[in-house]
Amino acid sequence: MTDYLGGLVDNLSLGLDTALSFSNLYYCFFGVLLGTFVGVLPGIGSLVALSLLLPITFHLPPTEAIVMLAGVYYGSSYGGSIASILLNLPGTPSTAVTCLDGYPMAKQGRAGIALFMTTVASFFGATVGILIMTLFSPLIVTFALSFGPAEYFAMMVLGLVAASSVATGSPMKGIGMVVLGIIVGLVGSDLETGQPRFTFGVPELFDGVPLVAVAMGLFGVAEVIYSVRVVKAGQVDRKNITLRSMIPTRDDVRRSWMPMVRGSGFGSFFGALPGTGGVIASFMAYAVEKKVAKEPERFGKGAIEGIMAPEAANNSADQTAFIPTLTLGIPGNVVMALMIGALTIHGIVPGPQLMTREPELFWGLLMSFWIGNLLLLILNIPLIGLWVRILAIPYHVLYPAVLMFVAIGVYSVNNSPVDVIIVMVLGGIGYGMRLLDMQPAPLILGFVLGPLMEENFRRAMLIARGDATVFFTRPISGTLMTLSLMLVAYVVYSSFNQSRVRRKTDAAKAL
Amino acid sequence: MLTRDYQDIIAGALFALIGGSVSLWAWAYYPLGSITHMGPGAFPAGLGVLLMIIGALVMLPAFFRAGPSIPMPDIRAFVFIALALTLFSFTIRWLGLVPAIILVVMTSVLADNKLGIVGSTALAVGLSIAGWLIFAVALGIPLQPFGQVWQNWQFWQ
Repeated sequence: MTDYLGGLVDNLSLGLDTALSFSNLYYCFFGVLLGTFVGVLPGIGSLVALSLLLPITFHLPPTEAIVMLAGVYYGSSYGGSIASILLNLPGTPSTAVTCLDGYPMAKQGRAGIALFMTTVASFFGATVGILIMTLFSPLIVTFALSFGPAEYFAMMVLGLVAASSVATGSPMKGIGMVVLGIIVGLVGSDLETGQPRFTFGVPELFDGVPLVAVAMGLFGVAEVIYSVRVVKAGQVDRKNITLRSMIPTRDDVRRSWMPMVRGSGFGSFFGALPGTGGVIASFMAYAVEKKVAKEPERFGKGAIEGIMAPEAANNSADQTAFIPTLTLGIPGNVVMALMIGALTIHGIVPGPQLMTREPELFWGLLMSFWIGNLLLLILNIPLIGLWVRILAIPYHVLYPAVLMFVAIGVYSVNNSPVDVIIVMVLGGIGYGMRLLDMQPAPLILGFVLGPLMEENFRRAMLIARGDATVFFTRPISGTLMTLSLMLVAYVVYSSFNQSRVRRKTDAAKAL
Repeated sequence: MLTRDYQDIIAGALFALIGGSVSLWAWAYYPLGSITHMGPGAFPAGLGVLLMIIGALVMLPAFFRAGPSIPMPDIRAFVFIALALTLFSFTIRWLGLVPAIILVVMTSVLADNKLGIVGSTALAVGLSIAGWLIFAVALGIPLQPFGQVWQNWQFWQ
């Protein structure tokens, strides 16, 4: 125990040194600033922003790159609540619940208090998340070092199945997109034999399909084509948000404590589970607050509990989502998959070895979370007026800027004009998939994990001498595989069941 | 509403088609190896079969339920955005960064035509300066603001 604590103190001071270096501070600030910016803007989320920043990470050292990307990710949750409260439009999906009580508060002239208190809740939630990450990551790593290829494979399967079937849209199609992503991830030379696969003689594909092109095509270009006619900017009454209007009443503060604590608990738990995360955590936290409230009828009419719990939940989930990503190398959501992709570009493979091999990166990133959240506190309270003004930027001014970033970003990676065309084609394919309601996020998850899955599968088969039951006979991988199978069985069952139910209601309508 | 869920029928058929081709291709061209020493073809071949099964599972129930109508593709948005990126690709070396960005912006605003000519021009000029400042100056990526073409033109002669 003293070993564990002593090591922790050493690591934290190493992390603080790293995080306080000028370049890390600079990129952390840039990350959270950009994160708040895209969080505020409806129509552009952290996913688009991270895809646009991926090419820039080529030109940065790995720690700076990941500090910046992480800042964009958790910064966008702070910004998202501004749009939710003032416009009744969630700036990011995980702040959707905040609309329910945040917008009524704004209509009652309590927008300032709502903005101030959600920032406090966000900071509180993030603090809890970071503490949990600090304390548990070393323990998980010690545990995970004993994992063999079978356990890794099983963990990736569970992560992918959970992430794709819990996400929005049809779960079966989500699983299909994951498998498609794994296949796209296999393009390029086979790691063991060097045999080129699905390259069709194109030398550029020998190293695989670049992540930058896929992410930019699917989240940058396809998203823009899809949103051009759909996204509308909101109207904001900007004059009544002053610092003075942000001071909460004593009653507000008293009511906020417990929801914040409960929300952080939900967030930390669901954030660390693959496939769930901020969206589910914030919905759960809201539902629970409504259950335990003495006057549940206040909810939906501007109850402060209804914004505190979900905001604490989604911010703590943002932080704990890094636990499985950095300790096991298993991304729980698509943003984490992009983080892993960014690290892989630099030749760093996340997993239990990361903490010992790259302690500056791991602990530096962790300490940068503190700095980033403090910066966000400053950005969101005194500078709130700035963000309120940004809310009014219409989408038709934004999307040309997004396209500019896509074009320059892609071109700058290899100085190759052809890459821009490739991204355009992928964007067209992505747009077609969107029309068929085939979600791009599971595809990216599969794409990033595909090569790792194949490697671990082949290794496991080699060790077990071709005995495929190894995935079920080893206790940990057996449990994980059983869970995945149960999830798949449920998805298959519900897709057939749903069609029966829907047919019945259709029949009822026809009568 | 349509009488069948054509969205899922098409999606499922696409999955099945891609899965089938991947599997056949891997089986035909890459060594499968043995179960202990899996060759480069084994994993893709297996995944292809899996994707075929998933495709069937997406497609079959969709025949028996009503579904949403498939949204009409926004051809105009697609054409102008694709054109914007193509123009960038062809002009970035020849004309340089600033003219290429101006072309991207002026073309892409036509996708929804809400911004008038004055607004578009202002946006184009603003973004070309911002793009050059962010990528070339702040990040130090070697990008010429103006390409070779301009250097050969000598206005003052």
